[in-house]
Amino acid sequence: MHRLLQRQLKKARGGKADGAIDLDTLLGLVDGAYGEFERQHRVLAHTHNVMREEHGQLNARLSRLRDAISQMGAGFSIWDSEDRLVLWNQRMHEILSHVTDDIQQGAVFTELIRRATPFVVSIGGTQDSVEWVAARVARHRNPTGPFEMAFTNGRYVQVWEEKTGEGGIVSLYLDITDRKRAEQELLQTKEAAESANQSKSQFLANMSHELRTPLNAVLGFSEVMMSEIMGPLGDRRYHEYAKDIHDAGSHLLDIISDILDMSKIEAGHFDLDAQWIDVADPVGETLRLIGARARDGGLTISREIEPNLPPLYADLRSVKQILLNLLGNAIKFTPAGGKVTVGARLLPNRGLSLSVSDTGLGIAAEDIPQALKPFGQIERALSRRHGGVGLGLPLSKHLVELHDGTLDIASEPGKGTTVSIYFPPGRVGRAAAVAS
Amino acid sequence: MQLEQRLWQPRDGWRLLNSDGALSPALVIFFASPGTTDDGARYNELKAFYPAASIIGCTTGGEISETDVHDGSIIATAIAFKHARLVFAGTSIGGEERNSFDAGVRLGRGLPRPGLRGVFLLSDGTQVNGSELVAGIQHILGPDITITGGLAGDGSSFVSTRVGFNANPEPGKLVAVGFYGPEIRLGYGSVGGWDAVGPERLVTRSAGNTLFDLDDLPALDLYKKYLGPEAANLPASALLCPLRIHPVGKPEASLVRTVIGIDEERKAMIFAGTIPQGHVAQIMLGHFDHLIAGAGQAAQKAAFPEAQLAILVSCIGRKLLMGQQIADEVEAVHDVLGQACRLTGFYSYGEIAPLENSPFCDLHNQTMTITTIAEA
Repeated sequence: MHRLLQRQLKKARGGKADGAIDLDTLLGLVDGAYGEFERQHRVLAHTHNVMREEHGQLNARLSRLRDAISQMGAGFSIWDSEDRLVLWNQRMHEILSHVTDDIQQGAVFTELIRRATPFVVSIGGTQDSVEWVAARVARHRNPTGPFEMAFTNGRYVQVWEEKTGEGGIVSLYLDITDRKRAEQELLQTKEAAESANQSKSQFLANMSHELRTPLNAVLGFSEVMMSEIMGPLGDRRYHEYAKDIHDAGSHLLDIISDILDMSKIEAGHFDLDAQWIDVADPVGETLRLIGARARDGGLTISREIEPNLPPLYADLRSVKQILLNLLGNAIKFTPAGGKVTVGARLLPNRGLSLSVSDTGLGIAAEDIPQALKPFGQIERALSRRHGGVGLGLPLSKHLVELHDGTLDIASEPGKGTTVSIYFPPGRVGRAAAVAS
Repeated sequence: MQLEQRLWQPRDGWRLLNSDGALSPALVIFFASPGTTDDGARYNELKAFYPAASIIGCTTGGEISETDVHDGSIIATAIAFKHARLVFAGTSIGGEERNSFDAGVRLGRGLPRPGLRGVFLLSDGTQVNGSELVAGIQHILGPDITITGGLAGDGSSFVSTRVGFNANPEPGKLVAVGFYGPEIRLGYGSVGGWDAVGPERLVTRSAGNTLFDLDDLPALDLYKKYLGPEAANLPASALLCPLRIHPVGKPEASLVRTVIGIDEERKAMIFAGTIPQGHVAQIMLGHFDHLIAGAGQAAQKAAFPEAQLAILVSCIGRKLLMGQQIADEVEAVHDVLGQACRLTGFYSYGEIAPLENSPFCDLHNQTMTITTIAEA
C-alpha cells in the first residue's frame, strides 16, 4: 500500500491502529490528494513553460552580450576566481596573437604571462622576468588602474583590469600604438622647438656680449672727444658729431642690454638678487635719471607714493629697470603738455602695487597682447617715429613675473595708459620702513 | 528530563500520546491550529493538566505530532527538567510598538546572560520582521547564544497569528524561553532543499521587507508570471516560489525569503524578512524529493545520540506545496533521530536558527528547522 494511503487510513481510523474507518474522512482525504496532484501537475506544467520562456530570454541576452563583446574595438577577457580564462573576444586574440597562441578556454593567466615575457619590452622597470611575472600577476589580482605595455613588435597596449563580483577579473586590452607614436612625435617636436629657442637665446646672449665690447670703445672715445681732454676739436660741428656718436652708442647699449636680459630670462639664466627695499628709492632714482627727458618733452611728472609703505623683497636693479622702461614708454608716447604719474600703494590683500600712468596715445585693447610680446611694438610707424625695438614691456613683464607678480595694462586710445605691476603679499614686509 | 505529549482533536478532545510517568513539568509547549484556542477552553484545560508549568504556544499552519501532520489539532508537550533552569521573557508588538528590533531587544534584556545555554523563541507571524527581531535579541545576548524558534502561523490565510505565554494566545505577542545550566544540551539544524531556478536578478528597489523591483521590473509581475494559474491564490501561492537572496558575489551567504503579503497597488511583494537593495535574487521551486532530503539533512545537523525531544519548525510553504505528502518530511526527520526522540512542532511563517557557517542567527524561510533538547 502506498504510504500516503496508509496515512490516510490511519487518519480515517482516528489515529488508532484498531479504530473503525470513517469512510467520509477517508474519501475526503483521497479526494483532497487527487486535487493536490492535479494542482501540482498544473504548477509543474506552467513552470516548465516559464522556464522555457526564461531560457529563451537568457539565450537572447547572452547572444546580445557575445555580439557586443565581439564587436568591441578593445580586446576583452574575463578570468574566473582561479585566474582561468573564461571568455574573450577576437580583438583580444589579435592583440596578443604574436605573443601566444594559447588563448583558449581555461588558459591559466600566470602561464600565459610567463610565456609572453620574451615579447614584452617594458617590463615595469625591472629586467628580471621572474620578478616581472610576479609583479604582473600581483597587479592582475589586485588591479590598481590602467597601465601600458610595450611589445617587441613595436605595438603598445593599454591594459585595464577590474575585479568582478565573483572574485574574477575582467580585462580590456586597448591597442594604443598610433596614439603612442603621435605622442612621441609631439615630444620630439617639442624638444626640437625648445632646443631651437635655447640656441636663439644663447646666440643673442653671445652676440650682445660681442657687440658691447666694441661699443665701450665707441662710447669711451666719443666721451674723450666731447670733453676735449686731448685738446680742442676745432670745428664746432666735430663736437656735435661726437655727441651724436655718444647718444647713438648709449641708445644701442640700452637695446643690447635689454636683449641680453630678455635672452637670459628666456634661457632661465636670470638670477634675482632680492633684498628688502623701500620702493620710494627706485622711484626717486629713476625719476632723477629720466626727469630731464620729461622736461625736454614738455611733460609734467608727479609722484603718488603712499606714506609709510612696508618694504618689498625684490631685486633693486630689476625694479629700477621696470620703472625706467615704463616711464620711458610713458614719456615717449605722451605728447607735449601731457602728464605722467608714478604711484605706489599697499593693496587690501597686503600685496604691493607700482603704477605708471600717462595721458598719451594709449593702446587699443586688442593690441595689448601684441605689445607684451618681444619685438612687438604695435606699429612699425610708431617704432620708426619713437625709436626702440619694443622690448621694454615684455622685459618688464618677465621681470615682474620673476618676482611672482603680474603686470597689467589698462589703456584707452587717445586718453592714456596705466601700467600696473603687482607684487604678492609674500614679498611685502610688515615693518613700515626699511633702512636704506 | 521527562516528557509527556497530548493531542487535542475536535472529534476526540485531548488524548495522551505518551508519558514518562508522573511528572511536574516546568514547561509546556503547545502548537494549535488557528481557531482552536479562541474560546480559551483548551488553554484552561492545559493549565489544569499542568498547574505548576509555564505554558507557551502559538497558532500554526499545521501541527506535527509523532510522524503525523495535522490540521485542526493542538499538540502539547510537557517537559520536566531535572537540573536545568528556565527564564521566560515576553513582550508585545503592534499599535505604538511597531519596531521588531526593539521587541528583540526587550526579549534579550529579559534573559540574564550568566549560565544561558540557548533560547527558543515564538513570535507573532504577521506583524513582525523576523530578521530585525532576531538582530535585536542578538544585539543584547551576543552571537554565541544560539537562538531557534519560529513565527506563528494562520493556516494559509496570513491574517492574524497568536502567541501565548501563560495566557490564552493573542495576536502581537512574543515569548522567549532561555535554557540555563550546564546539564542542558541543545542542538539545531536548518535546511531548505529548494532549487534555485531561472536567471539571477538584481534587487533594484526595496525597502525593509518590501520588494518593489527586480531588474527594474515590478516583482509582483514576475511572481504572477511564475505562478500562472496559481496567481489567483496570492499571497498564499507565492509560498510555492520562495526567493533566494545573497549579496553580489557571495552566494555562500544565501538566505531564502517567503512572501507573506502582496501590494497590488504598488506591484510589490512583502516578505517575512528584509530584502536588501543591491542583493542578487533568484526564484526557487520545490522538488518534493529534494525538500524531503533537506528535512533529513536538518535532522542530521540537529541530531545527537541522547536527544530526547525535537521541536520541528517547518515552513508553511513546504506544506502548501506538498499537500498530504508533507508528512514524508516529518518521517525523514524521524528516520534520522530515531524512536527515542519525541517529535513536536508546527508549520510556521518563518523559522529562526543560526546561519550556515556563521554564529549569527537570522530568520529563515521555507526550511525545516529543528531544535533538539536533552538533559544530562
